[in-house]
Amino acid sequence: MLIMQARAKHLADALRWHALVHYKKNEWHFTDGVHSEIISPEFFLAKSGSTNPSAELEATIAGFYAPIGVDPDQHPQCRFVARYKWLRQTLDWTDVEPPLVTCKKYREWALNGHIKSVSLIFATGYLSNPASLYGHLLIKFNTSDNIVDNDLLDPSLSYGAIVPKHESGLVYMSKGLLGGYEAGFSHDKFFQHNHNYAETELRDLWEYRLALPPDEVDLIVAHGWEMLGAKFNYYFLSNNCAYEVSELLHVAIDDRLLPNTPWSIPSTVFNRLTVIDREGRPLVSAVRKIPSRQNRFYKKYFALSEQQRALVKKIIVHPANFGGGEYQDMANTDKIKTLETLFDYYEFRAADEIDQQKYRQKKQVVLLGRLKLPSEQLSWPQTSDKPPHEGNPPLMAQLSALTNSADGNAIEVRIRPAYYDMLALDAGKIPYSSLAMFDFKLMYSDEHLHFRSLDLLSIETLSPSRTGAPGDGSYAWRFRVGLEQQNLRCIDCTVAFTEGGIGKAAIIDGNTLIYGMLDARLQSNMESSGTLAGTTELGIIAEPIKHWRTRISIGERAYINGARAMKPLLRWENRLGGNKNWDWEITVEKNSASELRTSVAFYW
Amino acid sequence: MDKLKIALAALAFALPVQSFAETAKEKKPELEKVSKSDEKLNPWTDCGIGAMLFDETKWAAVTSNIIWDWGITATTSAVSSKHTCEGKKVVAAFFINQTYANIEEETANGNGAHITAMLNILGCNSASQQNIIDSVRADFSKAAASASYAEKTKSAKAQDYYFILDEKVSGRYAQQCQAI
Repeated sequence: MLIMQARAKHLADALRWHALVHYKKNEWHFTDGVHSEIISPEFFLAKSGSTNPSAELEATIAGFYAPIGVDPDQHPQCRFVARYKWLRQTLDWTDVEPPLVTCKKYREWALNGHIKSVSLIFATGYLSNPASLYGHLLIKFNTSDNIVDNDLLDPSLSYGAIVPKHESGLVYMSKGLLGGYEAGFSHDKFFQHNHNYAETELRDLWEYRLALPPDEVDLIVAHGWEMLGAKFNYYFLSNNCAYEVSELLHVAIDDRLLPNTPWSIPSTVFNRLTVIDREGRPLVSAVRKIPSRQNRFYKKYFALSEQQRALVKKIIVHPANFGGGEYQDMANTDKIKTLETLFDYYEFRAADEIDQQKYRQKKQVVLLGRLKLPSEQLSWPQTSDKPPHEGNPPLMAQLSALTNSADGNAIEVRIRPAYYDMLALDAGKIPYSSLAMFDFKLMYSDEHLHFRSLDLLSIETLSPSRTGAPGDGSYAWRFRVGLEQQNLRCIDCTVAFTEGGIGKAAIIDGNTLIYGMLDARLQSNMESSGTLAGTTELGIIAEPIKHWRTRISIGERAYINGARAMKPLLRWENRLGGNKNWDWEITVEKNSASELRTSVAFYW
Repeated sequence: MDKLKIALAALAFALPVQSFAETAKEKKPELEKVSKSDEKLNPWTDCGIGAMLFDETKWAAVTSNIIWDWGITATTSAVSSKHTCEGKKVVAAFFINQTYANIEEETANGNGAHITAMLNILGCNSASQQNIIDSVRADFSKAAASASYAEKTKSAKAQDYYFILDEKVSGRYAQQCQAI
């Protein structure tokens, strides 16, 4: 009877059913139909369930009437709780009640119905690990109504590839790109993610709490349960955490959470979530930042008085200063502020594997100092950092009008699928860094289209010290690989190159940074240009007024094995505007020829 | 098809790989489940918590699904196994072991999210928590003042802390931490 109802209602074609079984249309045009992205046979109750939604639906309904075996938790009602919940809502079960099964394990896992809401967590990018450049996305199930309540023990789901221990880098890259790994969801208490990301990898976490009705929360929790043990094929670029977490949420949220691109970027999900309204209410009810240990140190340090900051630095440099007259003269609250700041400093430094024990030993002195003072809960200023969704979306198209001293006027078109540049809005990104992939430029002049450049990958991070404390800040570094014109004078003389640089940057006031870099460059030869070059560069990055960011760099490049002499390089970039979806840029550049470009860029 | 094209193109250019997701963390060996008649359980030596210490590595700290499967679920179902590795104490020990830096700071401060979570794992009621923290704080002050404290590993410090806590929640505050 239920099967007849399901057929009459065409449930096998329903969007929700396809979301529950993760069906996708076959990509090749010569095969119709769908396939499930789940590759575990045990996820399907029908033999042809992975490609046949009707068969799987009917086998699922039949399965709910199976006799209860020795282990009730293995009954289809317990294994496929979300399917059961959805079909209970969708079909009329009057007079056809299946056996009543108590799903003990599921109930325990779902905290006996105490999960009140669902949050998405974004772990910001981590430039020290290629696997984490674009950040990570995970789901948290909240047991409290309040976003600031203690959530360390709340359950969470995280999606990732299952990579054998000690996998070599090359194998890891190749298999990751080509779908050579299986992947799945793991469940952990949230404190483990908090520890791994915020404490160890020093990455900020951003929580986006979703305003979903209880039945949709239940459905997502139930589907999360179904996902445990389900295996997928993993693709670094597309079928990654952003994609699969979005797919999981589709059991309750119909809106697309990722743009229709062959790649999936975690931050994009938040851009989408924050514009979705459901019944007149925003889908995202609250956003909060969980700062990394390093950013907690900064927040506290800058909340101190000048005198306290000076003392913090003195103690860091000479721990013997702790407990001296300057400290003793402070009020207890000021002492506590100083000590809590030092806690964060020592743990931030201990996160670096080198000298971990040394910093923990130094921390002991501070710990004892704190234990001598009364218990007190300090309130520190709240962070005003912009959340990731207020930053520029990753996909950029830019149109420029330019005038070149050698070639005259031209139009330039640039497409950058990901991710952000040095002058982008500071929101959910690592300050003073840039990260681009497949950044492609074409120029139209003299009624011809010319290739300008393709940055396959470009990373730059300046890592300045924010406080001047020892160990705060590290070397600046950058890496680029791709194809580009040899210089601005020479159209259609493309060289392949790879270059890397190292340097140092310093913040000279709140909005101004200076840096120096030394780069080494390997490139293909072009008209005896040489193939190995060194480049020196000095630069400044500043925000003179709100919504005007500028970067000036001057340098020289010399080829070790080429005929060309030392070449001066100059670049002055200006980004104007505070809108995350578009901006205006003016750039002056000199590299053999001079060029002035004015551009408008759109982000989505 | 698109993803395959992109992948091949990227490989062809020997591009260092990007990923938009973390790798799933490899599961650590399941904790040894033992029964002990001894009143004092040491989760580190008896249950292997030391062996599944969460490495503080950049590449990937590990996760464990296992302990929560039979740890917290035992808690919620009130199946308390006082002398086995399936009880809440082991879960609390695991929590302390992993988040020790936060635990020691919050104990020194006298409050904080981690020590609240720790006492929640142990089933200590809200009204008693500040008293337990104050009591632990007093004993912890002595432990932290010892000359050997600074030389100890994080895991050894966590063990010391656990036993201070265990003495409170199994003794003076046993009534307030009923679910143990």
